[in-house]
Amino acid sequence: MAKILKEVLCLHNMEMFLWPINSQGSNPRPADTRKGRHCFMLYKFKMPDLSTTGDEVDVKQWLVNVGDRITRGQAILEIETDKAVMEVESPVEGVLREWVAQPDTTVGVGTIIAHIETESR
Amino acid sequence: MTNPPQAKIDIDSYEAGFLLGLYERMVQIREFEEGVKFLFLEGTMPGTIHQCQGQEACAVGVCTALEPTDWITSTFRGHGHALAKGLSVDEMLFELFGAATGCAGGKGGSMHMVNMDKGMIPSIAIVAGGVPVAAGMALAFKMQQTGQVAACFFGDGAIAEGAFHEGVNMAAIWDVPVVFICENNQYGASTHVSKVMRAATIAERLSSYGIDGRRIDGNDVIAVYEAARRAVDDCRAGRGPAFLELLTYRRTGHSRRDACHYQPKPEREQWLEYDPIVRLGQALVEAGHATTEELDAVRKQILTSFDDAVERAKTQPQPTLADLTTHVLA
Ligand SMILES: Cc1ncc(C[n+]2csc(CCOP(=O)(O)OP(=O)(O)O)c2C)c(N)n1
Ligand SMILES: [Mg+2]
Repeated sequence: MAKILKEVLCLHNMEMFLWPINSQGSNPRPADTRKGRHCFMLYKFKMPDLSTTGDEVDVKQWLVNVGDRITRGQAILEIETDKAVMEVESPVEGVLREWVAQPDTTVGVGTIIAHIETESR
Repeated sequence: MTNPPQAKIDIDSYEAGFLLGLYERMVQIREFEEGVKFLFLEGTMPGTIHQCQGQEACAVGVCTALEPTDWITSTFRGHGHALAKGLSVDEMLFELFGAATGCAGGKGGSMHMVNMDKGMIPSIAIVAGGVPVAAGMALAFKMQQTGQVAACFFGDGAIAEGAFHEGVNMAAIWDVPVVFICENNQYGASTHVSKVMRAATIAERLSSYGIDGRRIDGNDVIAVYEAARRAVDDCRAGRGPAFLELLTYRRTGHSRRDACHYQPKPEREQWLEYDPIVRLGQALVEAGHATTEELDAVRKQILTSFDDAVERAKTQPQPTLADLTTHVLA
């Protein structure tokens, strides 16, 4: 599956993979996906800026598994910032495809922590 | 721990259109806050935010009792007040995106919602900072005999500030038309209100200023509206100032980076059940004013227009270098 994915950079910080690639081998622009087009995206979830210093947070544990369906607002990851242990909520609804952030590691704010397959509206 | 008030919302005296208007405004605030939360989590919107999910009835109940020509002061937790006073989703969202078309020209951000045409001075992030300002505005209304009223929103944390006591006392000795509204969401950052106050209610402390304070169920929009209505009428009739303690609950962290571990789980769960929007929705359905499907449709419509506003916000012009020296004093 990953091989036929082609990366598209969305205008605003949100990076997405779109598929399938159409017969011309090009990708629909993300802007088109809003117009009721049925399309799946791999949403690359970046670590939100939850620390008070803005730099790094410790990844504690995954709260959902690969393959799990997750809802918008669901706590999916436990982290520890310079101040507190807290849960990270998913900004999108979909199916968790891959965990990038590994427990007991430190990740910077803005680094990709998970790939979530979403169905665009 | 303070238990949530359990009374049913009494909507008997009101027409369906008015009640649905209150409902829609509260949903508007809830979906704005939820939408903004996800924009923050995505990384689309920088900075931090102070949110008011669960406190919608306070903003909507009070602002509905005001005239468009009345003024409000607000705080760092001001999105709800702004929407309730009639600011548009667009001008607020554009401001959060730092755009030149935002309500403060992109220079204020989340904590400085403003629209001088709609009666909202830039919200003030200094705890209790709005209290002396509102007292001063109301003094101007009184001296100029304009018939206007100032409504001043602040939190339970403000009660421990010197500025609060000075401002309230001055308003009291000058009999000015200001309604002080304390949204007692029971926490000032991580501190429970009981740790900074020996009296049982904030309202009773106001008697020392000769102001008749009352504690109201802040998650009952009708109770808030009726109390605010009386307070505003009193002020307009020259019997001000007035004070309302609206008992509610802060269900989000203080700001986006606060995990909120200091709130006991049973307390949270109990208060989450007394959701101001759900409570009004139930009363509307029971009274036959709306079906659950119709209320859902209201929410969906608001969500769609919020999403459209986000798309517009992303392409708004940012302030330019030339804007750097405008709106600057001294
Ligand atoms: C004078 C002053 N002191 C401290 C702060 C830092 N601060 C910002 S919000 C806040 C807590 C305010 O609590 P409350 O008044 O109950 O309002 P809520 O956050 O519950 O809406 C504090 C201490 C500030 N902004 N101003
Ligand atoms: Mg508070």
